[in-house]
Amino acid sequence: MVSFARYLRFVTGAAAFFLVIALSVPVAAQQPSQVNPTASSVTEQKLLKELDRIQGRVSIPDKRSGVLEQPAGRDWRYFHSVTLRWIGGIAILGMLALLVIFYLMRGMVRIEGGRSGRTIVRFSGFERFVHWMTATCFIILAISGLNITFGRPLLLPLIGFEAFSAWSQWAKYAHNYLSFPFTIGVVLIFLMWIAGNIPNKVDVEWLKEGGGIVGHKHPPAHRFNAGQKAVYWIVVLGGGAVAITGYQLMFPFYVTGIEGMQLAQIVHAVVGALFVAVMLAHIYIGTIGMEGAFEAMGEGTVDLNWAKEHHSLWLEEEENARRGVNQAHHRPSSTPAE
Amino acid sequence: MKAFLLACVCAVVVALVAVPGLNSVQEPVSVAFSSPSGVRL
Repeated sequence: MVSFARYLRFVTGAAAFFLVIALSVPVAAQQPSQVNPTASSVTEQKLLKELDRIQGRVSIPDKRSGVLEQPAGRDWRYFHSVTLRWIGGIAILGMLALLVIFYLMRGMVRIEGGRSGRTIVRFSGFERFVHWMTATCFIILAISGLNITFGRPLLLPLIGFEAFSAWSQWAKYAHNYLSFPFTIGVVLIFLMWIAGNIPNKVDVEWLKEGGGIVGHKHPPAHRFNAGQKAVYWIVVLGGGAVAITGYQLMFPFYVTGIEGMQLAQIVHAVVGALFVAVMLAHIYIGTIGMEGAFEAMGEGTVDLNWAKEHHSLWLEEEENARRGVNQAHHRPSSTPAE
Repeated sequence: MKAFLLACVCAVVVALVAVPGLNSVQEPVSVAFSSPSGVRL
């Protein structure tokens, strides 16, 4: 009888044990695989991994304040403190190195026929005014912009915290305020020279011949050759891009949220760095790279032989136009009656 | 040279005209990047 009671107790215990196990399995199966953000034990790191950001609901009107952590900001910080410095450094120093090598190999591109002593008007006073306004603003914008990217690692150790702080503040003011005349200049350049900068077949031939810079040939060109057209479009499109993204950064949260502003900063910085590299090449060819080129923007006139070698089709057009005007002047205004 | 000097003067004038305009529209960093409850992210 005692053994039967022990047997009954064992069976009841075993049944109770299996019942507990059987009931607990479905509960475990119903455990969600995702992280429960409201659980008190969930870690911040786990939340970030699962949700890409830590965000909640807020009752105040500004819904953006519900974002507590946005890891895209970390990617952006890495970009502007590491990746951008590499991109800018390679583009600008690489371009400088290329120009030095090119100058050592090719030297200044001379006027092969020598100076004729006769000049022709290349750019009007207004065109030169617009060019120089945009150019001077660009130089200050470039220096103050590069200070934002490279100032801390390169300039700060040299001049110290106080001087760097004061310089950076003034550079930032100049960057903001001079963006307006720069933008006006880019718009005027676009309108002023669009007609002469539409690519055509002559540009293909010019490029095939190396533009007369790589070799010693002088391929024909209209008022603007393919290289100048490339610079024009870089100024118009690149200048437009830095202006739009710059104003987006100047007025935070007016147009986009923080992610849009981070994207704007990336575009602004990358285009700006490449813009500086391209302008170094433009400055080179307009000064020490080519004899007689600076005069076009300096005085507005170029030597006839320079025009013949670098812009022969433009010279022909100008001479034909002048001949037409002269003939019109010499033609009698009325024919005598018979 | 005349075009260059005129361009520099014009750039400075446009920038100076922009100063009060920009200052009246632009918000200080402490305002632009904050909300009533804290920082904007």
